[in-house]
Amino acid sequence: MILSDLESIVGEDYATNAETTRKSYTLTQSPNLFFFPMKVPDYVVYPQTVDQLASVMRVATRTRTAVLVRGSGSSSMSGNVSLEGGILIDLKHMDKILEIDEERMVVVAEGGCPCNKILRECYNKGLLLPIGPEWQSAPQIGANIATNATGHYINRTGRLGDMVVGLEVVLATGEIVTLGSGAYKWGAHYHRYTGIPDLIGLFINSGGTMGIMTKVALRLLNWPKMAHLTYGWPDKIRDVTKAHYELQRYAEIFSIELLNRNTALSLENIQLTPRIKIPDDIFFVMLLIQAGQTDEELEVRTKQAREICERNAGKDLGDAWERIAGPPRYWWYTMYCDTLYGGGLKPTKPGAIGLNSACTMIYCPTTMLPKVYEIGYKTYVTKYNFPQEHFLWYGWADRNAIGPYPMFFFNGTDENQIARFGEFWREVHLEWAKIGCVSYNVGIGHPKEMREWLGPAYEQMKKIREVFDPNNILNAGAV
Amino acid sequence: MGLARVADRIWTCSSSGQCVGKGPTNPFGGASAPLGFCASHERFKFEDYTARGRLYLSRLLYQGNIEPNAKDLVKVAYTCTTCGICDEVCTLRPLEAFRALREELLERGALIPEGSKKVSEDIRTRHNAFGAIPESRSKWAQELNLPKKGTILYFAGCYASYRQPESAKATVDILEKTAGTGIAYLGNEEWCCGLPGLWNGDRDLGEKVMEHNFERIENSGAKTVVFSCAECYRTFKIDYQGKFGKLPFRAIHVAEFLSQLVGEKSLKLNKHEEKVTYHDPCFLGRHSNVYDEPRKIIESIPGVRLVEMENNRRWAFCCGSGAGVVQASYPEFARWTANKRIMEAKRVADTIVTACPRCVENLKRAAKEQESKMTIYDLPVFVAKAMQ
Repeated sequence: MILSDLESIVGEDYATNAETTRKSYTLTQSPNLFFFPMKVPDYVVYPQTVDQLASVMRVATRTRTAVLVRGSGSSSMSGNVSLEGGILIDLKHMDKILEIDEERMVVVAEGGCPCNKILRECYNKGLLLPIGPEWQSAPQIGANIATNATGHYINRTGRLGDMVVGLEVVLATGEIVTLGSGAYKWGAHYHRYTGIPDLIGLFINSGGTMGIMTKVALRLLNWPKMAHLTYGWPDKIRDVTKAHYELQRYAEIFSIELLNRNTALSLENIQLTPRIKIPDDIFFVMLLIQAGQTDEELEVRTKQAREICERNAGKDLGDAWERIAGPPRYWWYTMYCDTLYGGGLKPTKPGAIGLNSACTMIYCPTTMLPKVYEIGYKTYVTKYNFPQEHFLWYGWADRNAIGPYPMFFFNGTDENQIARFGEFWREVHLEWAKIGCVSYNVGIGHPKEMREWLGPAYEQMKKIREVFDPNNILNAGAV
Repeated sequence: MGLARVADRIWTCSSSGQCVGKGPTNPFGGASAPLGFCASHERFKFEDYTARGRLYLSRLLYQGNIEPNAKDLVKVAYTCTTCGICDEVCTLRPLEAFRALREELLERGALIPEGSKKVSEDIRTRHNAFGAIPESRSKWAQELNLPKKGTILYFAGCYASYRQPESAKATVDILEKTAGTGIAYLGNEEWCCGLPGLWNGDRDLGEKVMEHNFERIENSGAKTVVFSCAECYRTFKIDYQGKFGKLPFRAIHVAEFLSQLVGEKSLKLNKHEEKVTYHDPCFLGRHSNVYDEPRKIIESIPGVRLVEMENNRRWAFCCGSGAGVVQASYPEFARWTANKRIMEAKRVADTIVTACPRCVENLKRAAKEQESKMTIYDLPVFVAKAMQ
């Protein structure tokens, strides 16, 4: 019945209950695959228009069927697999850029539009949407807003959620709502705040639990002049942290990405980039982007950034950025994460298969970095006895904070290792939370205590959600 | 054989989505994979028809979490055109895993497509991909009196032998005029190169014919073996080498041979005014990294203007035949894919030159279906025309 309803809405080619299709949507980069109960969706559907999507939601509400909206499925966060079965909505076909208004400096795109497509079209017009281009070709803008994506460029401008000026959302009931200045009868998308409380904020970082973003409007920046610097430090995280903090506070650095040695060298293993010549005494590598609107501004800011790094014992690694990136330049953006996640680490034993990874994202004030790093390392390596070379660290500067994005590896075919890793995963997050770190991930990827420790805020969020989704069908089980 | 040999690949797919092809791989200009490059995903829409979908289903099959005869699993496995673009965008290089998936399915008794089964049976019983009479394989060369032994041997392949003899004749004609020595040919001792078996899951069959051909070529004394078929060429360069180690002869495609002559300025080509585009066969281009040589040859013909299609070289879209497996198993999808390539070609030229007889056939079929005036040439035929 439900399948025939879906087929009548989207066409037979765009709805299915084939086992291979349903099961293929349970692949995820998230550790959910190993540690958390997932369910195979019962149906998969590809709406091509917002009206079709709204009709699908009305079917789901009428039949009280759980719904998961999935973007590219490439997130390491937990929101891209079904926890309760039901209908999985794939937004790949709602992938158009609707408008780039150069004067208003706004882009409007469908929710399933790949971020790289937006980046490219804006780049061609001298405009920048400041989100990380390293997230490969697949991630979609709606899902990136639902997870409030991070990456390069965010330190000065804020995260993707800060760039949103308008949304069109489909609620669980099938109602379509436009938010931001574009909601006005005669309005256009250019401004977020419209004389009512900021409802847009309810959907950012919502993990698909509040509504489905079918259209997004984002403000853009003028494409700045950029300088790329690479600095290295020995295994002295306090010096690194001090430099990191000063770069954020005093230099208004455009972007910082902080890697540990394992992360930087993992690219060597795939031998697709020129051999990285990170000196043996270097343990931490900072990839910096400084930006300015004029050459003069860029020069001043870059000089300031260099001075900060060097007075904090940083060593200029020259063109190491290009080596890590490797020609052609786009390998960095497309291969880096893919390699790290899957192929960049050599198995620990000859003949052993490659390793699986789980990466997490937490936030902390920049000055807490040494403690956060220490907890990650000690828990993974010392307590749970995983190899130290499988402890990969990277993270991004985000204004007054740092977003560590550590990656941990384990053998996904070894039941004992999976169990041990599961215990580690839970423990390290709780330890981080106890020193003040926050996870921004919506869903079950992190221990539930981390949400419950939010206190009344968490309870109020659930009440608001009940208003939007009284039957609790959207990403059911995640909240 | 089967999925055990690719366990590392199927286990470590990170679900990055690079293989889905919905967004540019390079957002800031410069080289980037084209959008919509995965033919099966574009046609069938769903996740299972992507490289990562196939990798994951392979994992599930390997683990026992899906049965070989699960609905659509065979279709998912056999609609990969094996074009290799996913290998270009993914460090895991998943293509080999899809061969292994087909091996696994066949081994475990899955109901593989009738078309593929027939091709295997034809090769097994008649040593060619068409089920044609083995003795007529060398009919195209009847009047050429080619010796069975010699330092340069031409391996015609099934297509040139049975369906496009003009290509075989043109190749021999070119070789005889330029090689400075007689051209050997195995005649009816030449069997199918093994490609269909190697790519439809019947690895045993593929290896059996490889052993036959290898022995016959060794006995011929050939030091150079020339191919006009991209698929035969790739099979020898990669699969024969994989099985037998370093080959005791040099395997080259006629495009490489001719390109050398162009470089030496020893090819006499007459003026011929035509605007053409070149279709990179997947097995010559992406699989074997031969891109420049055919172009060099085409551009050396006085009066010929080469115009590239939007998706060319390593990003060339597939003709859809999928090593003949897709053509045999899902001909409607093969045609759908070829139609897209013809439409792309139409935007730049009315003539396509390519270097693979299977591409020629599939593209011709699509052009006819579109009632298009598009002319499609195999490279040796195009060059031979300019040498007349």
